[in-house]
Amino acid sequence: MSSLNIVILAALGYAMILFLVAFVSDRSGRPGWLTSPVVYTLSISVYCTSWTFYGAVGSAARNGLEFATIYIGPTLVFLGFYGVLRKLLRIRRENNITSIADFISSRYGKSDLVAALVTLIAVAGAAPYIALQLKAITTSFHVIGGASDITVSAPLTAFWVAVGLALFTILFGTRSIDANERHYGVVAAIAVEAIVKLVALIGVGIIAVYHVADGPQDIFKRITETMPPPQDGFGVRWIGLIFLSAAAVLCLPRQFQVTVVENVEEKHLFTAAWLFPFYLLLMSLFILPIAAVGATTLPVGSNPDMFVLTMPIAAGRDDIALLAFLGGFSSATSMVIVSCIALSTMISNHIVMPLVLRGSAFSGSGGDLREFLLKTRRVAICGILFVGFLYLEFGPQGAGLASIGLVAFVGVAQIIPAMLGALFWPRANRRGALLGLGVGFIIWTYTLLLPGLLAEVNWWQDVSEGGPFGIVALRPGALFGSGSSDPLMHALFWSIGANVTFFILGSLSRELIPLEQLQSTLFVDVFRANTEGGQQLVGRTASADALFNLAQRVMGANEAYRIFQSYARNDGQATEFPEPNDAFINHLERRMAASVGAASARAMISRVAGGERISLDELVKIADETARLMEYSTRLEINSRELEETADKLKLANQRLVQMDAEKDDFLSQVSHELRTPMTSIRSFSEILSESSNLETEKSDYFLKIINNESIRLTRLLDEILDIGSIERDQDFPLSDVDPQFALVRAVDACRGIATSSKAVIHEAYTSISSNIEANQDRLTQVFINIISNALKYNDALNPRIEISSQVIENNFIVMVSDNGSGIDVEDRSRIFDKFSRGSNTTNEKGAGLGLAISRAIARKFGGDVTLVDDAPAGTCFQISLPLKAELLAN
Amino acid sequence: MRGLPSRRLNDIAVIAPLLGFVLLTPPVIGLFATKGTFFGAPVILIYLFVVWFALILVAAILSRRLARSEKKR
Repeated sequence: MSSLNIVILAALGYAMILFLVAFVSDRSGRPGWLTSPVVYTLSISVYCTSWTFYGAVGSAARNGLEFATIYIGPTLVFLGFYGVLRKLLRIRRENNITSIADFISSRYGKSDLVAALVTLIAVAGAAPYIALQLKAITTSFHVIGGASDITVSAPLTAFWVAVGLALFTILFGTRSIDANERHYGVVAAIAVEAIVKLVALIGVGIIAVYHVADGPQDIFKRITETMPPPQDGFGVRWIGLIFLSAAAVLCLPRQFQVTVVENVEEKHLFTAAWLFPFYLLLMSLFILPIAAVGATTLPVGSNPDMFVLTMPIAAGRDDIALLAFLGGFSSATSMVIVSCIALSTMISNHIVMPLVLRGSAFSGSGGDLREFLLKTRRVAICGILFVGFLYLEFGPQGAGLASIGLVAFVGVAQIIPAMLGALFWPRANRRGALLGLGVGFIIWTYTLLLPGLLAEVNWWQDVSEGGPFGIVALRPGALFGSGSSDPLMHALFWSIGANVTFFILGSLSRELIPLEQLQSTLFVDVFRANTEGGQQLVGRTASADALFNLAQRVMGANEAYRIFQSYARNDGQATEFPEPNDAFINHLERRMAASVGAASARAMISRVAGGERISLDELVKIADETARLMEYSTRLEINSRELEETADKLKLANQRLVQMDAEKDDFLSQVSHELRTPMTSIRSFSEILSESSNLETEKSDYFLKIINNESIRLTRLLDEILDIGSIERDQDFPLSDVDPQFALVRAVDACRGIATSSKAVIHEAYTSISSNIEANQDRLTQVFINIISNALKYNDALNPRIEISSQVIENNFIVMVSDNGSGIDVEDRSRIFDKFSRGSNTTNEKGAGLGLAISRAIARKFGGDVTLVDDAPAGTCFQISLPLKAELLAN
Repeated sequence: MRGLPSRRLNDIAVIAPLLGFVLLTPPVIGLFATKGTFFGAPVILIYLFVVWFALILVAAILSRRLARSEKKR
């Protein structure tokens, strides 16, 4: 290499450019290109670290196609994005999730213990992973700088690389505490880095294929020569690695950060679903060619992990080598930056904050917490990088990059059972999560992490050969005698197996507590509309002042003031501070959770608002699937029953209308018929009178009398029709207190004239009880007259006799009018109350047939009725019943 | 209720990754792990990358359809 200085300058210049990109993006707020799905996808490709850039070639040179498993797993996960990733994004949006630890702990009852455990696993898993990046940068630096030019030792270089990365990350990631835990600048810089590493790797690949080798055919020949026989590669390890990489792309803190937390719009996922796998495919395309060319052209014993650099150098292409160095630098720095940001957030939110909240330092009126949080994050970043550095120095020496990364993958994969349970298993609870995570973490540490770290230590060698305390069954490399030539698969099997078992058993061992139940519903059923109200189920009380005091410490006075004001405005409250009701406190808690995580936010709110009450009924309503379905079907049932009732009513009303229409037609035709008869006789007699001038006076007088009589009948008929019309149209006549007995006596008196002329005898038997009904005196009298005169008129007996009686029976005033006539034919009985109906055996045509209809209509107006008594001994018997007035009943 | 029109699409979205897993793991992938060549390239290499690319195509088509059906709702 021409000059070490050029390399250093290139690296620094590149870092400057990245920083500029980040700075400009942060400054410009949220420009369009930053929120494009392509940038989102490129940021997800932080998955491709220097493990991919350098290590994949190394892995391919050692194990052939096995390197591809690391990219097949994520491809399958993104292919199935609609089930898992989309749900994760929605849950993050609804709950303001800040990290993977926050996600898991929110789901399991906002438990700070779960959050701390996940953070611990993440940090422990990150140590080897970051060590891998440090190692890659250091080695690549030494390779490209030319070993002879560099006077410092590798550890020292690694240390300074770690310091540089720490500085870089602090500058990038902890300039402010964002309300949404989003870092637009970082995302922009990572997108640039994603392009650089892809271009670099493809560049090296093209050099390998067309510059060093003689095109594809030659490459395929070299691959066939150098690769292990293909039959060996596809066993348990192949499946295990695909599972591991699939779990890692979901659970790695940095992947969760870029895929879930930094996601701006859910629909970007629809692009990333295919574009990210495509990126992985492009990255993988030249891995085998580079490995094959490196293995066939470079001297035996060359480090295959550095083929990407040494191959172009050997080919004399220093420009490509420099590009490759920058590509490797990109992949390492982007991973370290995002990992450190994610992990430092987790450490400050889930380990430091709970400790502060528990200690006395967090008193009611302390200062701004943001400064404190920023400081802890900066310290955490330095700490994480230092741990990575320590792992590099004291961890397994001489291991390939890929094998170091796989150790980290198994550690992080311990989160996957709790995560999938959080998404899909409503009964999963905090106990199960703690047990599963804890046991899995311990087994991983014991079977994979410690054997790597302590390989050279004497007492550990005793343990691994003879088992702890001489228990052979517990040897870390062969748990329960399951000796395996592949410690990675051994550790994976036992840790994940135990993890899942304890997770399930722990969750089944007890019922969910209310808060867990609530969170479970909010997560598992996030796509159901009716979980939206779920956030409001938690009830607490606090003063607005205390809440504001707390909020401004977490978010700063301006932001807190803005939240309070906008809430009050949106809620339609005129005051500056909204009323601190349950809805507002929960809203505030969620806003605070975006800064400090759900568990800490809840703990803080609980400080000023006291313990929460969760309405169990409401909870069951939204949580219990069966209850919800039952409620739904009950509502449906009630609805359909109501509909049925309405339909029945409508049908009835329709029937009545049809009937009334028929009645009206009937009535009209009857009326015309009834009017026609007198009119015909009037017309014919008047014609005779006007046409025959020489009529005898006696005859003409007779005709005139008939005309007169018919006109009177016509008038009466019209009167009656008007009468019945007005009664039926509900036209009111004034009601007053009436003594029915008085009306009856008046009616009987009025009928005495007819009785005398028809030589009828009237028998009267009245009640002595004075009674009172609500009626109209004249109308009531009319009813009685109608009935009595009917009895007189249609009585065909030789010695006509009428019996009239009145009684008070069961709050009714009952009048019976009976005669000794021939009675009414059975077939006529049912229709005598119809309009224009007369008994068929009546010869007398005087009545219009409206009398009974009118009488019944009037009686019904008063709440009573007129009926024909069926079982009268002889003749006809009508009964008129009228209800007594209520106030009299009391006496 | 809301998902009914795209129920079939949802099922495909669930089945696709499972199908991919079956195609890319033993025993299916073992069938192609032979010493044979295809236009000079090892068969297993061609199989792996072709299936991989096909899965990406499926993902692209699927995500387009799903995005459209989601927009409709």
